[in-house]
Amino acid sequence: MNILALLLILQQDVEHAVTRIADGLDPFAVTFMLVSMGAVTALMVWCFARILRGRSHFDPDGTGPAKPPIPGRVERKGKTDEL
Amino acid sequence: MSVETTDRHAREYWGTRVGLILAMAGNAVGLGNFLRFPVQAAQNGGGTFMIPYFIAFVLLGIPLMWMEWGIGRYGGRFGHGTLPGMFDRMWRNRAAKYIGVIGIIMPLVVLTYYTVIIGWLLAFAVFSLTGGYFFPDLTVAAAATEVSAYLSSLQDIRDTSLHGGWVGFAFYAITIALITWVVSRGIRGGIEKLALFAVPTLFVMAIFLMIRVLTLPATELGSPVEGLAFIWTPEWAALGDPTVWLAAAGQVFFTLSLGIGTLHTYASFLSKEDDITLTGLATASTNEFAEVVLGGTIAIPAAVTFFGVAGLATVAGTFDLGIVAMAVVFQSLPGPEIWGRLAGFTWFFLLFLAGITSSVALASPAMAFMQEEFGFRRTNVALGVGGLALFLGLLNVVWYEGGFLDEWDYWAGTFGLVVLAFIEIWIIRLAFGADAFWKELHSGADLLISRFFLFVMKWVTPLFVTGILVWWGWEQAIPTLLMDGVAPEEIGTRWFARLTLVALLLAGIVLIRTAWRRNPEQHAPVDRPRTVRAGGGDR
Repeated sequence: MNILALLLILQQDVEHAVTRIADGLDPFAVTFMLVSMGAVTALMVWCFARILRGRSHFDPDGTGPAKPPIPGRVERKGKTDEL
Repeated sequence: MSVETTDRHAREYWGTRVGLILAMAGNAVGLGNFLRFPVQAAQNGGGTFMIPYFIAFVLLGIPLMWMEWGIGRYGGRFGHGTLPGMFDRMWRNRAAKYIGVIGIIMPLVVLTYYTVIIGWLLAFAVFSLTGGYFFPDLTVAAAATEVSAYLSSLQDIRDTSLHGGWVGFAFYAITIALITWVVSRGIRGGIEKLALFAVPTLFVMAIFLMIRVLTLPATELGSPVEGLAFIWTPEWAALGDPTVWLAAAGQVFFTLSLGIGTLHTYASFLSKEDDITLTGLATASTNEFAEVVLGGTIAIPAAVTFFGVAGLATVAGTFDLGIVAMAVVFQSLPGPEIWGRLAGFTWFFLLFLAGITSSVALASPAMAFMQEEFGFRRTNVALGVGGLALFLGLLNVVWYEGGFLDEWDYWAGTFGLVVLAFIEIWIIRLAFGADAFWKELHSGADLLISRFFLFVMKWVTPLFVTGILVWWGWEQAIPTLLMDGVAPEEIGTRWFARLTLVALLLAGIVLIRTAWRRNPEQHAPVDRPRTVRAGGGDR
């Protein structure tokens, strides 16, 4: 949303942008790009790996999460006292 | 523990956890991931933008995401799928339920103009296959002018120069019909099935386009690498600019669909035994992947390759980057035209899928409210919501040139988000209690959240959101309210848009009052959530 406003900003800043990228994709830019992409990818993979490992907790018989048969990982590991 | 809850089996519920995550991610992933993010990054310090962006993601995005899931699931235990009922349960104040009206009306308003936009995207997906906007004999600049006129003719129903006036309306009506059909099938049979198809398809399409864009040969105007440089080249001075930090916070806010009421409704279809900590984090991270990895590597690198950085900024018209510039890119691709048409279809259809999954979420609060509070049948409510959205959307179509859509977009789709987040965060903080909410959040949890986030939720996020509200209120809302810089011929239409918005809010308040009077037992007070705090919850 608000794409119109963004395009206006883009138009105002064009000369600055041309100057800014005159040296192409420098090592700092590559670093920021790879670290940013790597971080969000790693977070997503970690979340889904953890979810898929715990599948039996959630939906063992395909009937949905109306009543999970066993408690969540936090309770199973006795960590509720830490709350 | 004696908190009485409605028999949740009387309500719908999600079929699978992956379905829930994909539906939530589908709700969050939208046009902003592919168009707004790269432009924001490029204009706010390039690579250095990611520093405030990730800080805002951790201090604002993730905590608010958990809070909205928590509010939604808590309300669902009492049979409430919308904010009036949720706020009423969390804050025993007569005003609470009326404040919640914005969680029903705002998504409905955004739905009406969002479907207009995704109707254009569906049209361009079809035009890609038919080659309607392909002008193979023209230069890039001339083709951009032609595509811009092609889009304008579609947007303005009075402009019949390139399309019949009915074409834009037909695609809009098809979009509304599709949304109505999906929501009429319910949570499990409609929204979840759509998400299970649309979100993976969207990701596959985006990865395909990303590979295609990054392997494009350089032209005399630019290259994909220059496009990446445009987005990621760091500007260290930007870190000292508070507007950059606010822009990063705003981007995190918009991209996660926070502050609009849809996450609450989706989360209300969970039981208190279901995990929301890990699932909420998975949803946020999926959205971030779509934004940072996919959104950052398609539109701008492709457009810079064929227009150059200077040319990208001078393409005329509206929705240039997403529609006009990309349409020209696809007809300029090397190789047979059919590959360009398929790539064009892929792009516009993926944006359409991103939009449609968000749209069904936007329709959900109004659906849930009418079903739960008035006992109407789902199919009838779906037809009613679809019909109302069609009617209200027509206002956007007919008065598009007068700024009607912009006005609604600002008050409901931009400033309204921060207002709602501000309200909910202080209700948690002052009325419900941060510690009680922390325990509520961990009911059924698969992930024990670090206590660092308890501090963040208590102090940092509330102050962050309050700061954004004050800053935007002063910098943007007041000038917008006073119509600074608005063309005189648009003022009448914009006032009409505002009055319509106020009328909708008042109608919502009347409905809430009627619902509470009609069914006092359902809204009678029960044990306060303090029992959760004192007794360790109702686990």
